Amino acid sequence: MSVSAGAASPAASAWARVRAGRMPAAPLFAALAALLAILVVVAAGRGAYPISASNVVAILLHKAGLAQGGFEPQQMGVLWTIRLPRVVLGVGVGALLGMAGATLQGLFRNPLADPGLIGVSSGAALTVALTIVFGNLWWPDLSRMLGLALLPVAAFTGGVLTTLLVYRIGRTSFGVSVAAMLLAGIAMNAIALALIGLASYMATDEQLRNLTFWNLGSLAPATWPVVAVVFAVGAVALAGMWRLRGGLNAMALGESEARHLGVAVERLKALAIVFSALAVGMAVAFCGIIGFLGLVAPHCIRLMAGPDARVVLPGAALLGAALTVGADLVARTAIAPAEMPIGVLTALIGAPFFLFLLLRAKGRMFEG
Amino acid sequence: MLEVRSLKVARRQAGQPQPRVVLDGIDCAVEAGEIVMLIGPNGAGKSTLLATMAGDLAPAAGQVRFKGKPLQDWAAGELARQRAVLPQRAGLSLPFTVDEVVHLGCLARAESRRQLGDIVRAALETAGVSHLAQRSMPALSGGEQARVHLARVLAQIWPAGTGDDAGGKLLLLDEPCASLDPHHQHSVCTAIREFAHRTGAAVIVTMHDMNLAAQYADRIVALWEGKLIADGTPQAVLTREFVRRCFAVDAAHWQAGEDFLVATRPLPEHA
Amino acid sequence: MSMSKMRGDAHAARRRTLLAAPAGLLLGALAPLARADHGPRVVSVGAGVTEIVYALGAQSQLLAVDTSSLYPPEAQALAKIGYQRTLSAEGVLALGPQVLLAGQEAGPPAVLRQIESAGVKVVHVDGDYTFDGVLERIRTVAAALDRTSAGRALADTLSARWQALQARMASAPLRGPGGRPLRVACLMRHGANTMAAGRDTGADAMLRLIGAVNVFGGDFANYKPLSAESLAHAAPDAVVGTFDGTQEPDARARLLATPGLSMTPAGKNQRAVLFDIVLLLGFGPRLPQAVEDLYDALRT
Repeated sequence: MSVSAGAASPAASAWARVRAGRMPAAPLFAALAALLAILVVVAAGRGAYPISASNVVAILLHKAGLAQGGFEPQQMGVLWTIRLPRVVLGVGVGALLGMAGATLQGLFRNPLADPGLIGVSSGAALTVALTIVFGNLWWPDLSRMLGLALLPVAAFTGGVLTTLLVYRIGRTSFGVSVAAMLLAGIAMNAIALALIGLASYMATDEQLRNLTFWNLGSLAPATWPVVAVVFAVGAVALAGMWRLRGGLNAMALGESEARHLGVAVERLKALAIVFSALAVGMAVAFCGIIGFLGLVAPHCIRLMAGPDARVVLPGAALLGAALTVGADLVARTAIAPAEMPIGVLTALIGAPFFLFLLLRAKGRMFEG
Repeated sequence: MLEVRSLKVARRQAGQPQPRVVLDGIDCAVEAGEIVMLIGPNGAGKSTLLATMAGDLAPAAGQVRFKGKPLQDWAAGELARQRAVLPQRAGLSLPFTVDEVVHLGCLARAESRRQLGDIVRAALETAGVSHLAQRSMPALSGGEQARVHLARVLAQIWPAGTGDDAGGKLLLLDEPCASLDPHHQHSVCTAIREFAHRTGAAVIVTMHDMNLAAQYADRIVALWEGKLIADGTPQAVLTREFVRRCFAVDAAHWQAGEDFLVATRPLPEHA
Repeated sequence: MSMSKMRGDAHAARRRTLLAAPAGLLLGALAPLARADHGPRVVSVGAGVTEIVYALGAQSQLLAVDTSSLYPPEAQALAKIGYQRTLSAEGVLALGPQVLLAGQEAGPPAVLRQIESAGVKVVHVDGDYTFDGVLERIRTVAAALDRTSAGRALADTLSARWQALQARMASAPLRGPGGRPLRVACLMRHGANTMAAGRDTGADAMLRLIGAVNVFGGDFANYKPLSAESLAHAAPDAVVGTFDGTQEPDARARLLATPGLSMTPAGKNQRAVLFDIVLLLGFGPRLPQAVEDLYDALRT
């Protein structure tokens, strides 16, 4: 790299920084926000049901009370109650999954850490499986009372409980061991998988198919009340994770180093776990398992702008939101009038990406 | 500034019912502007003593007082502004730049961004790594990384000209010269000495290179199997007799102007 | 091979459906002109429901069906709205239906609600695994399609056939050795496993309708993987298997080779029959035919 930073012109040194993978934060956020805005607009305007751009504008103006007419009533129904909540939910879910992934990668000091590792996804899947198969048997009153909120409540509860269990297992008298939590997460994933298998064995065909499709993820259950809940709770989670950015940066030096720098390390670990479990739990509760976003989004930001948590956390949220809106657009238009589960799309893109990351990391480990 | 009284530290061993006593009855005091080097053979307890002084380990008996207050009574953020610790190994795996790493050291500081920039630049300069500012850490050599981490801890307690500096700061370093070539060993030690004398910081360093200890320490504290066996100036402590008993090697000294040099060779029986 | 031809046809059908979607849309747009006197435009979800629509002669009203609606073969040429449990609200609405006939497995419930709130009449076609259940479903669909007279005619025809069949079966009931009721097991291949039908399944209902006994009817509910030992212990007199689409030439041999079967009366007497799964378990207008075929097959 350049020898004397002071001698080069500001423009040249700025370009050198971009080439070195250090895009400045402000232009990066602006670009990501623009990308998200464009995708939201495109996604709002496209779908299996034909609504032209002028229809969309007319409907929005009508909703704002500024104009009348220019669209069919059913078009307004489709746009306002089916498509828009889904696009907005995609923004929320993507942001939550992206930032949660970035937070956990900072906590585990490993760029390959995925929200699934701490047991949120498998714990949620397990409670959902148990609810689908045994719900009517074990807690019929609760099923009746919660109605359609039963699965989201079950998923969220299971996800958070498993995460807390993993955290508890990782706790030693010297504080929470990140390595122990990782191993506990892997163990929990295995246990959950086995119990889900058992429940699947006892399930009817119908229950089995319900479970399979929940596991593949979908934004179809989006309604405005769902969006409101996800955004309300999600905002708390996002704010909570954002506040940890300084501590997460210090954690990169190591736990005792972070402590020497004045970071309350145990509290940081606890808050990171709680808020990322909250974020992922909300996403998983309503949309099933949508994988790899928590891995792909933070990594892309790190490649472009470096590992500073003050950039990676919000950047991953923006990019995660954009990726989700884009993937959902493809999921619901590519094979119209049918639609494919979004989890399949994110896995198709994310899994090879993950392999590519692994191979690159492996190479660096042996380089010396 | 730092006072250690009747310190006893024990560490639990895997498979042993009782914890092993690593430090037994250590009494030691370090004043502002003083450079104290801890020496001793492997396993004597140097790193344990440093870790206890840093607040990482709780003593089984005795006390560590920093600026008159027991160490456990200090708030984490307050302590981070007054005391910096450089460990032997840093586990940074993320590709931060040198500049970013040194900025991390300023986490507990309250200055504005511009002031922090000045502090970071000064720290980089003192550690001799200004030319590496935009380089990525994992790409540097072990010695270069060590000096970057030195810049980081210097930045952490760099004087800011506020009332905060009352009584100076404390710098604890664990084998800072272990992976450096001779030129950089001396430049790092010189930098530390300048920092101590200029800012009035108290510096405690564990060092196994006796030559460096002889040249740069104001005082040498020697540990042997968990006990403090010597405390004095380099000339007073590093006698040939002492070095033979403590380290099982033969020592030769000479005075070159103001510098006191020590060299070692095997004992005659093992020649 | 007929199997690959089936696949080729399926691929051709899929290609046609991709083109048929906009065509369906166009037809949907023209519908008010073409179907003014034929009742509402319909999307049918569920194999049994689609069969009823065709049996009522109302196929001109059909815009699209789900992927499980394979009978009659003409239904496979229609536009497809995907898997019945994961419908897409926009996709269905884009076809412009007035009525959605929702079989028991149509879902997800949230999407059905969205479709309903967009002004489409969602008719749930329910009913159990009995002949009365079939009549009920026919009545529901006929009412939804404004074809009540055709519905009544179909119900009458089927009822007449059913009465005749009941009389015939009563006069010559299926019996096993020693005059006791015939003991039958219903087996299905599921990947590498063989599943047996317990109670609360369509297969169990079919066996009871022909007057036979399901050997596993008292042991468990739904479909469960079968072990060779339990099959040998159950000792069925006959075994019923199913196939999906076309029957492969060695299907019966493979059924007879099910582990444990050779030790049972069914295996020793080679008493195994195979049925198209859609026919056997459809519980649609073809129920009388299915029951009769099953009865005849097991009488020999």
